[in-house]
This record gives sequence, C-alpha cells and structure tokens, in this order.
Amino acid sequence: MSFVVSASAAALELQSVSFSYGGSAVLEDLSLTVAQGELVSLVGPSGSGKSTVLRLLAGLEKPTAGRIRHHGVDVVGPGLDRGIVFQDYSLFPWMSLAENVTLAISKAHPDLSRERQRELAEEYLELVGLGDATKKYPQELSGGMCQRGAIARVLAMGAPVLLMDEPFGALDPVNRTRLQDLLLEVWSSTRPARTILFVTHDVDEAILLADRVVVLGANPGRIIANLTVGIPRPRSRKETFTRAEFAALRRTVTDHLHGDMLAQLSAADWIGEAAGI
Amino acid sequence: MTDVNISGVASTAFNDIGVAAPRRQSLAQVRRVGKVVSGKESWLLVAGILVLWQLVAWIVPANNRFLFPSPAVTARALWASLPELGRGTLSSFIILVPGYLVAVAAGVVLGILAGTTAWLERLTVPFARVVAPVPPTVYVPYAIALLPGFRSAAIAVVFIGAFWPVFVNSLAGAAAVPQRMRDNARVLGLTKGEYLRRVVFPCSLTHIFSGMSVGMAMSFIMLTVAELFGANAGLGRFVQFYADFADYPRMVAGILFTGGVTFICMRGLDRLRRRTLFWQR
Repeated sequence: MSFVVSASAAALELQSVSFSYGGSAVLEDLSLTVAQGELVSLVGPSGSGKSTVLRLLAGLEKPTAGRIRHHGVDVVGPGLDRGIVFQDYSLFPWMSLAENVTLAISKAHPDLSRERQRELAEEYLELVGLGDATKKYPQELSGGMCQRGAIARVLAMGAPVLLMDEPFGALDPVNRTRLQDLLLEVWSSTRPARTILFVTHDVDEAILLADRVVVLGANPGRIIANLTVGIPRPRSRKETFTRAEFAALRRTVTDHLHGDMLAQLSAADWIGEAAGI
Repeated sequence: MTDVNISGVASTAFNDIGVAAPRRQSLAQVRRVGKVVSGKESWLLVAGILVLWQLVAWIVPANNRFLFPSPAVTARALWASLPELGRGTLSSFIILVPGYLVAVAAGVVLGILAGTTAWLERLTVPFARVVAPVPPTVYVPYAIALLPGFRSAAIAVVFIGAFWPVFVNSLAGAAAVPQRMRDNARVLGLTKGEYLRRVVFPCSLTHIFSGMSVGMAMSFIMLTVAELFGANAGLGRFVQFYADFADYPRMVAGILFTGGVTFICMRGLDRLRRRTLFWQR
C-alpha cells in the first residue's frame, strides 16, 4: 500500500483543537504541527489530555472544535495510514503473535497472498527479536515482549505515521531501555523516515527519543512549552545523558511540569481550606 | 446489559464474576481451588450420602422397603436396566443434541448481532425481558399438540429452554466488549463481519459458555419433562414408566443414571470451555 505524501503540508496538524468530555474541557485551543519524518514527544501530567491528542489524531475521537489534518487532509476516522501502539492492549489475547500481526497485515496489504502475509508477519516479529515466539499467545509473554509484538504489528502495517500512547509505560527499566533503542533504530533506518508522535510521562525518555518535546499543562490540556532537542543523532544513551544540553533541557521540562502542577494546586480551593484560611 | 433479569441468567452473571475473580489470582491458588472442587472431598460427600442412604434403608420398616430401596437393591436394578437405559439415553440424545445445538448456534449468532447493533438491541431486549423468564415447561403440552410427532415437539421445547440463556448471555457478552478492544479493531480497519467474528465472538466466549451451561441444564429439564408427557423411550420416560408400575428400585436407578449422564455432559462442556478459553489463563 502506498500513501500520497504531500511535501508542503505538515504530516500532522491540530488547529485550535478543543475537546470536552462529559461537560468538562479536556483540551482547549490546542495547536500543534508535526513535520514529515519528525519524532515528537508529548509529555504532561495525568489529566493534561496527552492521550486524547493521540486519539484525536488516530481518528478515535472527534474534536469539539478545531481542525485535525493529516498531510493536509481532514481526519474523519481511523485509517491504516496512521498506526497506533497502545500502552498494553495492542494485541488480541485470543490470537498468537503471528496471528495478531498477520491480521494487521491482511488489512494493510490485502493484495498480498495469505502465504506472503504470514511470511511478512514472521519477518517483522524476527525484526523485533520475537522470531522464536511467533506461536505464543500474549498471556504467555512478558510485558516487554507484548510491546515488541505491538511494535512489530504497527511496523508491518507500514503506516508512515506512528502514534504511540505511553508504549513503554508499563515496562521495567531494562525492557524500556531495549525498546527505546529498538524504536530509534527502526526510525532512523527507514527512509523516508516515519513521523512519530510519542506520548510519555518519562522526561528522560521524551528527550532521548525526540527531535522536539511538547509539554502539556493540565485542566484544561494545553501546550505550555515546545522545546527543540538539539542533541545530534545518532544518540548514544550514555553520552546523551551526560551532555549539558540534556541536563538543561531536562530541567526546563521538569520546571514547566512542576510549575503547572503548583499552579493547579494553588488554584484548588481545598488548599485554602486545609490551611485554615 | 447486566441488569437484564431473566431466570437463570442473573445468577450466571454473578457466577461469571465468581469465576473471573480467582483467575486474577496466582496460578497455584487457582489450582488449589480446582483441586478442592473436583478432588477427594466431593467423593467423601458421595460416600457419606451412600452410608446415610444405607442406614435409612435399614431403619425403614420392611413393609415400606419397596418405596425406599437400599443402595444394594438399587445397584442391582441399575445393572439389570443398563441395556434399557442405554437405549433410553440414545433416544433422549436424538432429541437433546439437535435441540441444544440449534439453540446454541441461533442464540450465539442472534445474541452477538443484538449486542452490537443498537436497533436490534432495542428491538429484542424488551421482548426478551418478557418472554425469557416464562418457564419453558409451560409450552410442553401445546408443543406436543401442535407439532407432528413427539420427537419434533420435544426438540422444539429443548430448543426454547436452551435458546434464551444462550441468547441473553451472548448479548450481554457482546455488549460488554471493552472500549480498548473496539478501539483496537477500529484502528485495524476491520469490517463489521471481521469485527464480529474475530473480536466480539472470542471476547464474548466467557459469557457464551455461561449461557451454554445454563442452557444445557435447561435442556435436560425440558427433555425429561417432555418425556414424562408423551415419549415411548428415553431417560425421563424410563423414570415415569417404572414409577407408574411402583418399581421404585428401577425408578431410583433411572434417576441416578440420568444424574450421571447430566453430570458427564456438564463436565464435557466445562472441559470444552477450559480448552477454548486457554488464552485467559
């Protein structure tokens, strides 16, 4: 399957997007563009609507106001041109890894023969280091292996845009490190590079991976900082973490996050009451 | 959908919770519970009942002993009746199997469609709420009068007995497919058919098996009731026949045998459930 990529328009674009759920505003007047081939991290406290941004771009939700476009075309629903990796439920538990990936391939590449689809599934599982586990079911695998499977699935679909919703959030540090490396490796070795929007609450992860870190504030969700990561690629984990730019950027992001949290707290009435004012 | 209060179904819904909860515990705990359920303790109870039965049989005055046969007398009657009970089982299964299987197929297909299609749900749920709680035994005399031959009438009432629990549980299961599964299916761009077959159906299997289990129990009830009315063979007929002749040892043997057959069928269904839902453990 080939996707028409218009060079002029941004790969992903949210234009003054608002979203409310059950009467309360989740996102308010949020504008964000992501260029073709860019890897952008989205960080923010819970309640900042970072997952909602992803769901809107995926077409799983419709904005209350504003416009969402993908290469200049309005997003009206989910599409195979935008792959999604959820935190922990991208795989159906009643299908083996191979079946999960084959199902996705059969939707993205219906023109291929069943045989070829199965081969492709094996190849992508091999790529993420799950070549020996293709017949296993998700509950037989560790969280890290499941997320590898989810990544294999989304890569196999060949979508030029990847939307990742805290994909490594539930993993232990070792697996998290491995999967970050895997993601960077896959991203940097593909041409044209995929456009990736990566939601996380881990500031180190956000900086290490991204070209740009977008910080969201809570209640309602809005962008409070948009920071370019100047650290050259390829980035080695060890070297990146010792750089002065990394430390400075890390401080800026956390300051923004803490600033927003404090603003939230002082705005809350109960603080005054608790203090006896 | 969980508030649908239909006989035998509400309790199943609770069973579901009871079954699902230990699954989240450690495997060792689950094994231990499983052992208790099917292990030595239940045989202890069986032995206890046998002893009690024998004791009561000794106490019963001699002139009433034909009404309350001892275990030994019953066992002899059972042994002597085995060929007849075998034929009866075959005759009963010719009614039970088609009635039950058609009910399961129809209940699952219609339940899943109704649970995923808003207008079908609005169409069927109020109707189901009224009709499903009606004890299906009330249809037996009319079914026998209406349909040609006893066999077709009995198959029809077995179908009615099994259909509603399967339908209502399948509907509840399909309506309870978690949002994340639906999102996942939408992201893949599955067609409605693929979605129903590859996501809703497997996702509803826990509910479907609860419905099948209640439905199977209902099938046996409907079968034996129908056979009391007008069969010339079968398990229920066997019991009724020897009761009419006051041959209570054979009658009790028939009751025990029917219980055994029911137990084996329910056990088989449980095996099938565990094998099918392997991915849940």
